[in-house]
Amino acid sequence: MELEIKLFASLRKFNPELEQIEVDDGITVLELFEKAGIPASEVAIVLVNGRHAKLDQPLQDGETVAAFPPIAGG
Amino acid sequence: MPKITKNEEHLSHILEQLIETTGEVEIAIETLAVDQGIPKRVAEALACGLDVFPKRYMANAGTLGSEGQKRLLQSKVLVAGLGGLGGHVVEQLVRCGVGELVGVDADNFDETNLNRQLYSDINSIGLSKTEAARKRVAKINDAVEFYPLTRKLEDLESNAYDGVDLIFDCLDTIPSRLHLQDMGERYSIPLIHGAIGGWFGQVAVVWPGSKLLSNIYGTKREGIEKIVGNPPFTPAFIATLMVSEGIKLLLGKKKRENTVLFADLLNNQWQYITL
Repeated sequence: MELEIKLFASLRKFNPELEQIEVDDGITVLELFEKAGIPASEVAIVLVNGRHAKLDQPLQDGETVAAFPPIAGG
Repeated sequence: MPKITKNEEHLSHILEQLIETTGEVEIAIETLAVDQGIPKRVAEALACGLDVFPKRYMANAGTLGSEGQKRLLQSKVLVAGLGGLGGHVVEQLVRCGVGELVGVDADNFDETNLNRQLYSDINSIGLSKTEAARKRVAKINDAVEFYPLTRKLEDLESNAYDGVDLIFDCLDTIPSRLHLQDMGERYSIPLIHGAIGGWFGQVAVVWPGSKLLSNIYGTKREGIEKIVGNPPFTPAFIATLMVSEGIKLLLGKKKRENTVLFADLLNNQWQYITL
């Protein structure tokens, strides 16, 4: 199945060109990050099709996964 | 929100007469404040109630209106953290004419602050951030009352939040931000949250009970700023967004929503997400 990935802010450096990715059916968000070379330890927020999601959420064909890092400086 | 204790109508009438006899709004406000023993911010609010703008707010008039300016003068805001974000936030709130500001920070300025923290300069190294902010506020607007609290947020007495209409989260650690979220919830005060790291930043309104910051940070307890640091332009930009959000909220123009704005100044991308 094919997924769309949107990386935000500092996460773009891990895979700057990545937008579409071909993956096995039933892959989870965490497995997707591993395959795409994005360290899950640097991800604070995950959205699947615009909805807040957890790392163990299984993904469906055609879904869009967006990832944001933690930003906490003042 | 109104904190005018003496009879507003009576004082307004006296102010009207003073404006007529002196021909100068500023002199009339000063005279009223001294004669009646009321804070200058209260006298300024009365002037706005008469649709008369003190000169220092004249350029706010078209945007805020006299009702809006009056409301800001009657508002009390707590700024938690007086560093990169907090300095710019205080600066803009004072110039907007927000009547009372509580400034919270336990730290003193050091050389590493000089690249971005508005109230740090060669002469303020070693000075407490609250004292630097107090001095600056007094220089800009003597009608604004600034209450410095030179201690850690976690050590504040509960009366620090008395009468506070809005809190600005300008802190620099996730645990202290989550503590502030708890305080907002305990005292039913909304938070304007801002955070920065490198080219990136985020802004959100945290409504009491929404747990928005818990949703933003999840299990994370450190942000990317530990690696990428903080250049000068990101705090100024994010602080501006925080203040405009806060002013809208104080003026009743802001709807309740759990949205976070992410700003990427490297790629000029702005993304709103709802959690």
